[in-house]
Amino acid sequence: MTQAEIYRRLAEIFEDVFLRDDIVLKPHTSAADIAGWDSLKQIDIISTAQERFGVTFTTRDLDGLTCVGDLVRAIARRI
Amino acid sequence: MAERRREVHPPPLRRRISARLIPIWRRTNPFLTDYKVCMAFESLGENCEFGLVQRHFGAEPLGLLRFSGVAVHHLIDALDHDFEGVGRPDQTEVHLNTHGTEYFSVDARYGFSSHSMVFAEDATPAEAAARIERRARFLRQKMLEDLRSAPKIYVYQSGDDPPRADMSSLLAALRRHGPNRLLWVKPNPDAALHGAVTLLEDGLMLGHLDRPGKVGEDWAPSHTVWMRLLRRALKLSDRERAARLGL
Repeated sequence: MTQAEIYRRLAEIFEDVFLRDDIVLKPHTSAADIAGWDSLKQIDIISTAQERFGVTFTTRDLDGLTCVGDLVRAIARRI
Repeated sequence: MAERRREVHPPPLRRRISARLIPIWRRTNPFLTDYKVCMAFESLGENCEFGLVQRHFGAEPLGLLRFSGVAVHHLIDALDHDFEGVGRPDQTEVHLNTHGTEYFSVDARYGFSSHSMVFAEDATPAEAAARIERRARFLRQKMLEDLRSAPKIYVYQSGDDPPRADMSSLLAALRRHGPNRLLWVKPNPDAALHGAVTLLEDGLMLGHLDRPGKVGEDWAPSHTVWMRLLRRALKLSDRERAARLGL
């Protein structure tokens, strides 16, 4: 799966989690850029990503996440 | 000459191993930020107080029990059974709070009751249940992984006064999974002890708060005292771990 495809599918997950369709994901997008992105939303994003991409993240993966680009790389490593 | 030769030799094996045991950021940064201190701990309940303390200091770790209410004997049962069934639809009850605004969940087997921060205006009961169950399954998996690798110190904060034996049993349940450490925190009327931490036994520390975090119906944790005791617990835990290994 290409990174572009991961971004596209991740954007759908963000739409479902934040109930908005105007979020543009870039590699440096972080919690500071999206209103309401708190720890519970983070759980929703990650747990949904696990199910939809069919991957399982380790605690080390999760502790290293600071932005969308990190999440995309973590998914790419696990696919 | 002999003295000079000793100086250029690598440090003794014991010292090298000891250095590796302590995470680099703790050894090299004596001015640990409050955020990093908070991230070194994980809440086991029994209520939301420590989760709110972490939030106050900007730390938002992902934890199964961070905003949960759970009694110690239920927690031990869950640990003994690897949190089996947590997040399964047949074991998860989802209902609205008394104001009809936020969904709450209760694990029917272990009795955890949790805030969901999923609101009635944003989700139907079925959507809320699906989201809450998915979160719980994910956090269970993370909890089990963390229990095995033991990267954090677990915090059990109690408003009432469970017997010391219960805390030893809780530590034993945690250690069935890995080399875990437990910080038991409760109010102590002795002002001289506020913010202090006592080592009760190998792996079990007691932190002394000045007062309960709930004032009337509202949460108002004693942040300064919490931070003092968290820092002391980190220091004590590192010393204890090194001593246990004979370093």
